[in-house]
Amino acid sequence: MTHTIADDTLTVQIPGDVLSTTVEGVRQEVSTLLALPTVKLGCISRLQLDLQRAKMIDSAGVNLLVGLVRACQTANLKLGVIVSSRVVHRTLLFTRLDRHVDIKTTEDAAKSPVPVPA
Amino acid sequence: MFVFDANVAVAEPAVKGRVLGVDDDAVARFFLEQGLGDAGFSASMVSSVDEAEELLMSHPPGTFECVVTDHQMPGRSGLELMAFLAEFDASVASIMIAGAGEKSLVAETLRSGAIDYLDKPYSQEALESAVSKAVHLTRRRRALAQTEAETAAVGEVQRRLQAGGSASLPGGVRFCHLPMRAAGGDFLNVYRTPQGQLLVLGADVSGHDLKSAFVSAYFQGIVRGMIEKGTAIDEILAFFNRCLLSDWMDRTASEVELPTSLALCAALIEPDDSAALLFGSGSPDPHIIDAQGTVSPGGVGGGPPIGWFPNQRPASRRTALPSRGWIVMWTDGLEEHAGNLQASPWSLAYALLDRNTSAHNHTAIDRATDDILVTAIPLGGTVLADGFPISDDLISGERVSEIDSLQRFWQRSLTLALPSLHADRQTEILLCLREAVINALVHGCAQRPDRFASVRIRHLKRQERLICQIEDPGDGHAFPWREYRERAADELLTEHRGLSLIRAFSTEVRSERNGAHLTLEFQLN
Repeated sequence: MTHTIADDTLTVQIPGDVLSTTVEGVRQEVSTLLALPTVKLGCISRLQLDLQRAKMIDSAGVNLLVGLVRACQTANLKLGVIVSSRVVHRTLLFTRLDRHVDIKTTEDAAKSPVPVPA
Repeated sequence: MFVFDANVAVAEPAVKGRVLGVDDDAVARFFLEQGLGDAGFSASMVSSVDEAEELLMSHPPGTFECVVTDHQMPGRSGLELMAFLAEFDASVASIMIAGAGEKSLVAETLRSGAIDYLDKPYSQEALESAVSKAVHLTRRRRALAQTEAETAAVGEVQRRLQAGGSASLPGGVRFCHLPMRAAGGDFLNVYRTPQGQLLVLGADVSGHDLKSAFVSAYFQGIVRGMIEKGTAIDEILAFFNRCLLSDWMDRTASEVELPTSLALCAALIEPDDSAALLFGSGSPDPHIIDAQGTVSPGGVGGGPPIGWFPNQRPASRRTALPSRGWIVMWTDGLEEHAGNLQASPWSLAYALLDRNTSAHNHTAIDRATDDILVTAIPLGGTVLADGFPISDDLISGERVSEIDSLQRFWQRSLTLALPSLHADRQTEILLCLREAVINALVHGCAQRPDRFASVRIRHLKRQERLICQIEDPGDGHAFPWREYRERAADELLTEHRGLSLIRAFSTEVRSERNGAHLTLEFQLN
């Protein structure tokens, strides 16, 4: 897992799917990054997860994002994600995480409209 | 593919071989012709590549058994003739002659297909030795090609004779025979008995070669004849046992060993499809599938293959049949190959049956390591499109830690059975399966090794729907998911997210026993 800090944004590249079997590693990595002095000192205002390599996020992955929403609220950070998979995009919309997370999509994920079930 | 035995001698005709010689130099051509004649070869001589091509094309392929050509000639070189030969008749071996200053050509000459290279001036012994080798090689190549063609023809005949040779089988039976080589030892008989019963007998003669194919055809014909004469199935099988154990063993004058055993499974189905007598001997148990896709073992019990013990009778069991569904039988090659593909045998069976007998266009399936025969006998007019299984497994609770591997298994099974399924839709289905199975293994089975969740996937082709049923032995847990979904979004709750995802991605979800038995339906188009 790699990360970059540019302007006031900390971007974390997630290497693949965010699943029950991988989520703990992601959680620990992001927690470590959020504890960096740069972050603690308020030099960044936005945490961005680059999920372009993820084809699937399961419920454990969704809950990781829920936890990060809370952590970012506490740390006064905005949380954003970049997705390229249509399924991942739909997962985030179905679970209404778009209410709390700024979702950026690449062309592939935005190709077709995403119906949200009633 | 037929394996050519390099030790088998190729008969030598009276003339040592017919050779085409090519040289623009009249003197060199004269000495070449004389040298070939002295060595017992029949030589035809020309002075250019163009003339050589013309001569070759004016004779039937296979006329010449060696081409000896000079390299440096006005117009086109010997290398160009090699290129022509590679296209026109790759079986004919060729030899290049070149001057001492053309040593650098050796590698290129050999790359272009020539088998040897003669330096000018060459000795009579060198010419004779090189041409003899070339002629012998050409004959072996042609003998091998002929054997391969004949083997392929045997395989084609075997395919046409399978199941009695009819394109439309009695009872709407579907089957696929995929021999590992051009022909194999599996065979299938499908006939109506004089009493109106439907007999479906699939068998696997030991071995994978032409001997097995031949013995397989022998048995196949015997079954047909004996059934038409009203012989009972167990008497036929007793006869096979006698053939394998005693009759053929008495004729072991030849060093060629005959196949020693026969694994088989058979179903003798009553005219009204109400019941069947199932037989098994050294083969996987037949399966009975009802209209809901529930798979039950035939319960025959197996036993050793026919040909192992004297007076051996195959295991049999009479069983009632569902009003709709299938009896499915396969040889062990299918289970072995599904294991190699790390996919469900049901997905492989479906892939083979859905493509019918011409499964050779399916690359992944083609790399089988054993002959494969699979048969589906429809009951009550059911067809393959009515919900044939793609996967059917019992998974113990402790395997929740293997969920990634299970997911890959379902993915490979879906890809095998439904190759045109859109990747995104497949991912959504896999996500739902993952969530449902984790829930079943963690809550319903309490992660215990002695508690099992059942996971069944089947394809309703007619409706373009996939049905996944996940059932665990637990009590389930009901909750109002619609209300919860809103609260989860507003209050950032973390519970029951999996079920929310299942509800979102499935076309339809049915829940029984408080969710301990989930049926997920997915529209595929």
